[in-house]
Amino acid sequence: MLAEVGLGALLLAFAAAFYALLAAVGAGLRNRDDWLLSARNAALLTFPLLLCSASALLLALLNGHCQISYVWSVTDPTTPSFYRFTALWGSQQGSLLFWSLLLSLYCFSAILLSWREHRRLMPGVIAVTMATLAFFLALSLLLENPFERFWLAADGTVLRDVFIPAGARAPDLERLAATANGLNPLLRHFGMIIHPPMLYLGFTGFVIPFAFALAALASGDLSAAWIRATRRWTLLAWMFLGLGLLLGGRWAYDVLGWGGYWGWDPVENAALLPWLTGTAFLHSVLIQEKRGMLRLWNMLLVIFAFSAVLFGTFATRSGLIESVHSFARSDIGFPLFAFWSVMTLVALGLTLWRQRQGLLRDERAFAGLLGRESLFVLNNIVFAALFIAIFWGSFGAPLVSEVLLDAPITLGVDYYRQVTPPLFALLFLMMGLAPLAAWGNSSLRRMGAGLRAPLLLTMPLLALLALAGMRTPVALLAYGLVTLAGMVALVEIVRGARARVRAWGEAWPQALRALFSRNRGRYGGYVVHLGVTVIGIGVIGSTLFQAETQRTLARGESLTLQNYELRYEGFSQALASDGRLLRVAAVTLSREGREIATLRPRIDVFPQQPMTIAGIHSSAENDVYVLLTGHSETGARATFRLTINPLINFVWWGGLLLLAGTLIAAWPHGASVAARRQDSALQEAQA
Amino acid sequence: MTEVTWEKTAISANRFSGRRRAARRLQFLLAGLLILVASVWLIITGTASGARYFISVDELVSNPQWSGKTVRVSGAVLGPSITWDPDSLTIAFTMAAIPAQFDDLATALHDAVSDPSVTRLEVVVPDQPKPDLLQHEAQAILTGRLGADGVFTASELLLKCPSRFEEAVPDPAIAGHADL
Repeated sequence: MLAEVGLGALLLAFAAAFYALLAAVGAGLRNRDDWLLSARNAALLTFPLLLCSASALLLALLNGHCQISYVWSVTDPTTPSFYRFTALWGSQQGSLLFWSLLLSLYCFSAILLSWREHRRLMPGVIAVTMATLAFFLALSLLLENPFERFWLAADGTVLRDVFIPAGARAPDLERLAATANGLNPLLRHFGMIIHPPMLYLGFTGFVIPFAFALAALASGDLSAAWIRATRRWTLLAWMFLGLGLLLGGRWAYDVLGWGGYWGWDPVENAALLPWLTGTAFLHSVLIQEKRGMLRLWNMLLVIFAFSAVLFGTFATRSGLIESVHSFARSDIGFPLFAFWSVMTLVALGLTLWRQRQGLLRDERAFAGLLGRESLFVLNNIVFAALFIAIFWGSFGAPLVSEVLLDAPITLGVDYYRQVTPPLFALLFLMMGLAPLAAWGNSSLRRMGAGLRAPLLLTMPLLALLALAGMRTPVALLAYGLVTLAGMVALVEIVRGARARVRAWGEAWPQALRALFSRNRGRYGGYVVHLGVTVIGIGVIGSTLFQAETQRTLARGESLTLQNYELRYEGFSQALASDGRLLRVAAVTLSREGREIATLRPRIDVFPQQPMTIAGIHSSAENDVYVLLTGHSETGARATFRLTINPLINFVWWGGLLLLAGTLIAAWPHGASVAARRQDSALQEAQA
Repeated sequence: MTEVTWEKTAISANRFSGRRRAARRLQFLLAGLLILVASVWLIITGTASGARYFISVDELVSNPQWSGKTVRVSGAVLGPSITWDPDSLTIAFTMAAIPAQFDDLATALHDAVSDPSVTRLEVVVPDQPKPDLLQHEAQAILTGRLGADGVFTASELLLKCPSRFEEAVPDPAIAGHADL
């Protein structure tokens, strides 16, 4: 019954999306308001229908309806409820349905919220979002149907079909359950309940700015309306994608057992590319809002952000890439590739058409190198260079060499470690300088004056690091740039609040609250800069100063690394309730002779594969990460890998700041119309 | 109450003559160009030094041009050949060549280890704990160099066991018990 309900809702959702697409295109071409209203209603209907479909699959997972092949392939009778829930996105079919559900949620919200204010753009918005949704629903219905079931043919062969084949019957459910696959052990982690939804919310969210941009191009309304309508959606998608990337890093750190969190894997890179494009867009869009510049560039950024989402989806889900993060080989590769190509070419064609008509011409030219808009553009160029470098390393070089050379080449971590650090350093430099520049033009003397306080705060920190023994010039330079960028953001916040304290005699907390509530975009952005600074500190520490050793120890023996000593105490085995065999080592961790922790690194042996789970001693200073990588049969001897990851927790803490800053920036304005008028009048007077 | 904001003031554009304005635009263009040229240089040098040719075991063994160069090769692991020294943390095994194109990885791996006429390669992986996935008929993807002694020394070892998650339908045996 659940399969029929889910499939029916999925079919109806596809029909509604397809109808909305046709009606919206018709409404746009013939200027028919009644058709547009009908398109809107059909588009809004897709979300409740997909919610119904996904709920049916979730109920089937929770209740073990393993005649549904998806349920059979990702759960078994021992799977705990928690993981039955995460199994909704644990494999291709379920995660495609979940993807469509989130896409429809974005469409539902954006259409409802923008219906009155941006009516002129609605035909285009509905057409683009529904075309995308209809495409993904068609993939679910035709190629990766999550409601296919197992049937037994008359000759005893097991068939998989949506409907009962002629002469077939339902198999015995208990015996079917006994052979069920169970969830991939790598996905049995707390992070999997939140990492994929965050990532998908990020990916699918970029459809909204893309749809508004295409609607603006199609309608010819290339005023700032589409920018106003989409900035918050872009922020939201960007935030979710950033959090998804960070949580993915945490999952890799906890589950994959290699001591790191970012491996420059093509699938990780595929998710990073739209985030980089989105970051560039969030900066350059300010220039269009404030100065009427970069209209063409912003259009291209929005198009490439969504194009990168579609390409990443194709790369991850087609089986093109071999990765621990990717899905198994699938037939959806070619349709996804075709859809990506068509959407990108249509968007670029529309942009070219409007550019030739002069509708994307800038209102003014750049005044000088030190103007804020110039620095933002230079920052965008660095983002573009990073995008190209990462795309080339992940996809370009392997594909081009496959065609042009005798033997295909792959680019490993060495390539990224050589190419990306100088570009990230430039980004941090721009992040430090741009907030100090004025719109239009500035001078070195004025920027130097603004830089004085942040520099005065940065230098003592660097001196302390040098005194503490850090003498590597690259590390000092990297920490200098990153800290300076953070200090600039901090000083800007303090300067803003101090202006209020001096002018109105407000108390500092009140001044800070007013500052943030009156200019959420700007000061939320500074908090994001602080978050990125904290992440940068963690990345530098854990990359440049990571230390590692490994050895086989007998019980009672120990190994040392820096000022830590690890002693092997004992070994035990146990069977967990979900059927996995736990092989656990007990080790004592000491620092300078003093015992600080007892850790239990272990190997979880699932029927499908083993998983190495680290024992971690975590502090602000570092993580001591211990892996049990092998052992003799009785556990008399065991092999350990000991890794010290300095400052790694800053990466996760920075993520929290990034989240806070984005929420501040995206939060709707609560100020009254009168107050906003006063602000505008004051800003005009200042200009 | 009037709002108070902290904002940098711009230098008026009127202060500059047309020639100075053009010079400032040129500065901006040059800065952008410099970043682009530097990025292209980084990408080219990074590609030149970081590129790893992905070749087959047959090509590696038969073509002397690959000897001593860092390359990636892929093949099927012969289980009985696997040894691991827990003190030196050194793995050694024999790998059989698999074809570049195949329909089913599991079949390709099985055929490779079963056919004694297929090209084989001795592999050593130093400083490496023994992975649980290193077993008979696993696919090994190695990065390393072929030495003059014909032994491939790998600095990176990736393993795949295709049989683990490829079972798409239940065992047909469930049919025999369905009516019990």
